[in-house]
Amino acid sequence: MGVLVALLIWALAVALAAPFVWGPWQPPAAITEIARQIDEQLQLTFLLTGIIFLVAQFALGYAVLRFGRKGPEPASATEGNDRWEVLWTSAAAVIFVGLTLLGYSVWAEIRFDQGRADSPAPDLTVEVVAQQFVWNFRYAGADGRFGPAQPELIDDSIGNAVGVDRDHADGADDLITARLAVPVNQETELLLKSKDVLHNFFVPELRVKLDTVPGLTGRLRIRPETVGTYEIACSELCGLGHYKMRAYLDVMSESDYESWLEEQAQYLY
Amino acid sequence: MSEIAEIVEIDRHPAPTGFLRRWIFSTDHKVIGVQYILLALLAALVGMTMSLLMRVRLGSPDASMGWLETLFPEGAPGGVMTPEFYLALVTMHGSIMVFMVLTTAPQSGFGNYFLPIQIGTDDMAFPRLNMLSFWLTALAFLVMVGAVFVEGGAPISGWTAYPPLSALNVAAINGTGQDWWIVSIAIFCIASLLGALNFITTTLAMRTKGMTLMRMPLTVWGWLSTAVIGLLAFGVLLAAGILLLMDRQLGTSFFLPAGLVINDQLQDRAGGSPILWQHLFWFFGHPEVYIAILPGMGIVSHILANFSRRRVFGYRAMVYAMGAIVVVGFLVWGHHMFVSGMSPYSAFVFSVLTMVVGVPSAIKTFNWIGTMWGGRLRLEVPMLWAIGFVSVFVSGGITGIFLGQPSLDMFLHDTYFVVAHFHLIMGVAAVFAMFAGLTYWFPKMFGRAMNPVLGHLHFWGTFVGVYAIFGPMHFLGMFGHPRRYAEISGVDYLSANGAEQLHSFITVAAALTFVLQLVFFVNLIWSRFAGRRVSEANPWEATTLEWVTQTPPPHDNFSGRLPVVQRGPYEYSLPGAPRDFLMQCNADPSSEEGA
Amino acid sequence: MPTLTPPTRLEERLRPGGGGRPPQDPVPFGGGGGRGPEGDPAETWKLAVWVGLAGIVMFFSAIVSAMIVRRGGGNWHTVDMPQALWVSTLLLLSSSAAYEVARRQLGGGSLERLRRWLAISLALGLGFLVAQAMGWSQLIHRGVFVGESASGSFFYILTAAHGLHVTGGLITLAYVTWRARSPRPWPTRSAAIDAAGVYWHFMDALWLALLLVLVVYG
Repeated sequence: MGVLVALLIWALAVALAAPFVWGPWQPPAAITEIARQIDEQLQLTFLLTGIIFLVAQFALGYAVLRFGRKGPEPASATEGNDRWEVLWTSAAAVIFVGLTLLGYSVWAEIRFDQGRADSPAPDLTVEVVAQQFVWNFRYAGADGRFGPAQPELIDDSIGNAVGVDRDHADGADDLITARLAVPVNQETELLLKSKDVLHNFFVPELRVKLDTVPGLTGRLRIRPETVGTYEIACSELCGLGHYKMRAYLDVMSESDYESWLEEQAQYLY
Repeated sequence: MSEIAEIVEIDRHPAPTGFLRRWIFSTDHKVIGVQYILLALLAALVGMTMSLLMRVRLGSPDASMGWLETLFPEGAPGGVMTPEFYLALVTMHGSIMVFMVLTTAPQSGFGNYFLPIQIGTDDMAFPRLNMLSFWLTALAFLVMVGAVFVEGGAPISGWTAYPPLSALNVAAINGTGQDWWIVSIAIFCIASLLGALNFITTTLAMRTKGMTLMRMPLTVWGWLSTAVIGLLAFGVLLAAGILLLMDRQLGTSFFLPAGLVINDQLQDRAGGSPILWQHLFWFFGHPEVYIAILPGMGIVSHILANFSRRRVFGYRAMVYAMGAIVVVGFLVWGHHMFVSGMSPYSAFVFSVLTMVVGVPSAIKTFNWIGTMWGGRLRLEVPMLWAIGFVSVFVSGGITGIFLGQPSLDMFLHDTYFVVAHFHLIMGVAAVFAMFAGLTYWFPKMFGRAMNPVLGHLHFWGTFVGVYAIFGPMHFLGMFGHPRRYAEISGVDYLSANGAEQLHSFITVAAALTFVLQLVFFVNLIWSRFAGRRVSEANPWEATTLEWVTQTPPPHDNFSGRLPVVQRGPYEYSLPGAPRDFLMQCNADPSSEEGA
Repeated sequence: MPTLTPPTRLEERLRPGGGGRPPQDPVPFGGGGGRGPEGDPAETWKLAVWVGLAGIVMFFSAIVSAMIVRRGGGNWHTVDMPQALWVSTLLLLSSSAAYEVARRQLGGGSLERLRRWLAISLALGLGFLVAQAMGWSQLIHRGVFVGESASGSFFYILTAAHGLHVTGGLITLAYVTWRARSPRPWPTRSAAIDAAGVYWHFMDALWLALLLVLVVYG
């Protein structure tokens, strides 16, 4: 029976690990440099944890196989081995902590550097305003300045989902759209906000997500390098319509983006 | 009962008479332990049914099911489950499983039954407090179930109940059952705190002569560590729950910021922080998962030693590892909040600490394999579950290394990768340990053996089944499938990546595995009343004190003659000894009576 | 430390103490003696009280840390301490002092004094609750309610939670006072009064800490 147990443990371990490498279910192609760096960290983690995983499951199965056989030898009477104990404790500590230290730089780049006074200004800033169960995007318009916004002015029926003050000079030309369009190869800063409950802005191709917290503004900078349309899927339970709170990120060429802006300006009321 | 070489005599208190005093309002820790286990089994049945319904929704999203409509006319009109019903299931499944199953059976169930016996005393330090703890827990379960049936509907905010969704008492966005949910959790917190007090006091003050701390079985260390965590964590959840209830009912703004617009209505709150709830909740929530697993770790160590006929490899390291988990486990809660808007600097600190807390678990895993290494394995059913535990613990634990890195968590947070991770660790490993404990101690508790054929069927099928259910969830996460989606039609990239097929596969696996658990229930009930009788005190040839008492143990465990402990808990296979085990409390190795 | 080489002599392993610990057991019992002849119920109950207090401290710490976080969230109007709170503090401290006088009668003092000072402590403790209630009404009079004021809501929840724990202590106090009427001491009288004393004095310390928090952060 030890043989059967061992074989099953090994079979299950392989069945769990193999699809990660050879299966069709992989993250979609990365479209930013940050996403590629995250992918590298992901690969490294796969490699190291994969080895640990397979070695541990192999050892477990082997122990059952070898010592599960009926035989005359009594069990060995040792009760530990300090040298081994220290060895594998140190190895685990080095690998585990080392992995997260290796991932430090990409985390720092995404989260520490943004919003700092001395970081270079982004090429474009777009406000992402989440609500139950749609995404709204606000562009600063021709003047490049966002108008003031108050919750009292929110009126979905006339298209002012964000509550921008249209009477204010800065606010008169703000565009509120249903799709997030950004020019390719330029740095766009997203200001993440919410009107009601927690939501989360997530685009798998970007590899990053951040909660939209009412009362706070989150910052995320992206520099997409591939033109295309990508889905934005809400990733924080926000109520009944959570599963269908979806919008699109359109990465366009510069000229397409300018045309799109002009087109959107027509809907300005 | 075996002849114990040295004893301490204590006063006996008479066993209670009458049905109510003996079986319902009993202060006997053994009866209370069984009551907790039964409560957990009932809750598990309810929770599993809920998850099966969730799987039906995800596996066959378009199918209109007549039986579904018959059972739940409001939740599934036209035979298709509404999002409200799905999210209510998500919330209730999580809450019931985490609280009523994983926090009760391993600790309050097995711990209550066996802690006093394993440390050589006649009952818990405070038997009546013990009874109160159980009945409060049962009440909490009733209130939790009640939350489903209240007029305003069940809560839909998940077991994590994040505000503002959970804090706004607006019927259109969340059920008013949320208030009942909070009350249930609050009662549960109090019950757990009282239980923790009992466990700690008993372990520290009631050990018999010779039972020093470093001679305690690892099961006892597991229960003690868990009680310490519970003592320090549940108060925080209680406080958070009270603040949430105040936000819902008294117009406070602990978690609600200004400017919220719900259904076009501007809410009249200001200054609160949704992230504050997350801090409070996860300060409790992360230690809670160690509450779910530590007793299981103790049970597995205990059983591996017994059925390998070897001392636990590195007993001291095992104890220190548990201690490290208790301490460091309180310092990592932020890893649930990497993308919450919390400071990215503290996120990094939390990440390093999270990696550190993985080390003691790794130590334990190596030591479990080390315990088996060089042993003479007896592959009985309890041992199979213990071996299975190690396998799934490795599988579930290894994905924690991904999630503990914030750079990777930015992709994997709130995807099915997380669902796979915590189910393998909590829903599978912890449950495997429960099966191990039940099959191991069943003969002692009831004087009967469980049917081994059904036991093998249950094990082999479930071992394959759980990998079939939760393995594919990792792959769903790999392409970014978000959690808590009632259906996948609202986002295109899900079905484009084969989510439908994976969901169908998982659902079939879940249904089959569910049926197998019914085999277990049948085995349990049948064996209890008609299983092969076991009269010997020590059928597994084990070493610890529970195997010294009668089968089943008398009301006061040792009939007034507490054993004096002479040696460590896992003295198996000593060279030169007449048999391959020495019990903790006998001094004469050459006596015929099992040494 | 676990050893690499197996034990060579069976006798050595079987000697009491072998199997994981040096031969001399530092305490006659593994633990506190439990229900055996070496056991001391007073020590057990006091241990239980300290353990319970650890849990209670975590509960209040959670609320206090929520308060400190919330304070930074804006819309915070400082609440002046109602006058009644200085009176209630005095009453609570006096109640503890009275309890100590009573407690020290155990072990040879006068039963009369024990009963009297227990009753005084109980009365002063009740006075504390009354004064707290007056403090609440003073706040309401000033227009500080639970819902609309953040600082107010913390004031109410902290004082209410503390008051609830004090009430639990008072019930225990009342029970002990009532049982002390009998001239014959019940077997666990000292243990009960000792352990209850730890709890009661801690309610003082907790109140002073909360008062400090309310004054500084409120």
